Amino acid sequence: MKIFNESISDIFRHRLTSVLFGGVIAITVFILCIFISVIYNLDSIEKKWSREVRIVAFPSQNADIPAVTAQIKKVKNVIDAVSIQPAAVFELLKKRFPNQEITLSESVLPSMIEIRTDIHHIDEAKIEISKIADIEEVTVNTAWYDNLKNLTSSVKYVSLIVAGLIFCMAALLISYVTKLGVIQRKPEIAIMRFCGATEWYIRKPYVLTGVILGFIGGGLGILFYLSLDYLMQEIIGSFIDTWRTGTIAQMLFVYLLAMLLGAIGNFMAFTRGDEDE
Amino acid sequence: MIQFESVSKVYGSRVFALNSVSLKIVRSDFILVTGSSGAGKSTLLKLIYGDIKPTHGSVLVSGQAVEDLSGRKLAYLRRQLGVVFQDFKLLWDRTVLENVALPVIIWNTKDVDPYYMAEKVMKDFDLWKYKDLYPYQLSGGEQQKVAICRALVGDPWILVADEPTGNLDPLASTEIFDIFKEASKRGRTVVVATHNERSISMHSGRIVRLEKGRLTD
Repeated sequence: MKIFNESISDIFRHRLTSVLFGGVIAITVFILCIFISVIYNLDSIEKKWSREVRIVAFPSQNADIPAVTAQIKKVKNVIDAVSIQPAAVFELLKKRFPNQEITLSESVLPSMIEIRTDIHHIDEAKIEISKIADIEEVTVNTAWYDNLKNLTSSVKYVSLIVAGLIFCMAALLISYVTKLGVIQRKPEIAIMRFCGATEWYIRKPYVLTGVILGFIGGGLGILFYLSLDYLMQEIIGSFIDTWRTGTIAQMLFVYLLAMLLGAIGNFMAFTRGDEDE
Repeated sequence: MIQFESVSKVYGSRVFALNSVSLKIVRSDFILVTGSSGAGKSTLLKLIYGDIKPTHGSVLVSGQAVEDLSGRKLAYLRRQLGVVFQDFKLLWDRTVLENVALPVIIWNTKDVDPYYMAEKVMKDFDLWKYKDLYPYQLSGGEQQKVAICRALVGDPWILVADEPTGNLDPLASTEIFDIFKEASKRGRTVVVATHNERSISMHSGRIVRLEKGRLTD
């Protein structure tokens, strides 16, 4: 409690430094939240599109379609299977293109079964389905999904690298800001050393000050992010209906990161100030 | 016991602050270290309290080689020492009582009240009346007495003082040296660096003279 009080009075004693410190953390957290949000949303977009990937199976002419469909449903990793009857499709086409009646005098479409599977096991499912007796051909087109996945993965990795760089830069910036305070307190630190203070005793209040400022700055950063998120949903929500706000767990993670950032920044500042002595 | 074994301290590449100094200081010794400016007095004292490390040789305090100590061990060694400086090195934003109690607060020893310890030593030095004042409200002599109180509050067995009377008038200087004599009589080892001629001439104990980093006698 004594150290906590000491840290609080230290924050007030070095108001300008504290505001700068908290500001850097708030901005960093804000940017990190945006990055996390982008990564999170890319993940959910990818998941959503993964559900659109289908295996298409073509049964033989005389196959018992409902029986084959039931058999397919039993295959491991298959989520759902729907048979598409040529007659139904033919009726739909006739309605859509009434002027093409002569050409579409009779159905030339084959029967097919659309199968939804776990995207991670699509190839295994395809092999299993092709083993079924009345299945003539099995096709699957994952190229578009693979391209999308590659794109989102690239964006995610770049975002992670940029977020990491921002974190490091923020820690460095904070250490510079705090260094000013350390220089101011150098004589006091020297006296403490002569009185037998251990390095940890001297560093403790600094680290705690960093955690407190991380707590305040982190809170502000998350508040900025949530405000922006709210505004964006109000403005562009109708265009991007899948956009989601970060989860509570993600926000807590960023909050903890902010406090860690404060502690690391101050710890680094102390080490750097110390080396200059 | 404090022991210097062929200790040299070189600043930069060729400035010898101390050159092959060997010295033994036993318990209750009251030693004056004298010499002109740049003779190496402060360097000798800094080596005792581990502010710097020797370039060659070894400095033993209580059987421990100071140059080998770092971090926590050095901090604990410093708890056996009281250090007094020419410029007092007091904390201006803390009261006299808080300044004196500082070492014991730092040590954070169980069942020891830092303020009670500070009160005891301050009463010995007639400083209790100033307990709520700030150092800048005191005279130079009084400030130095506060610094000595801080050095003595933890009951160290070694008292090291670097030009403690450098900023004081003759009367205050005499008073400060009387305090050191008293500390020595009570069994403490006192090492004082000074070029205060009056104090040197009146000193009945051992005098260590340094010249250009070497002992002259």
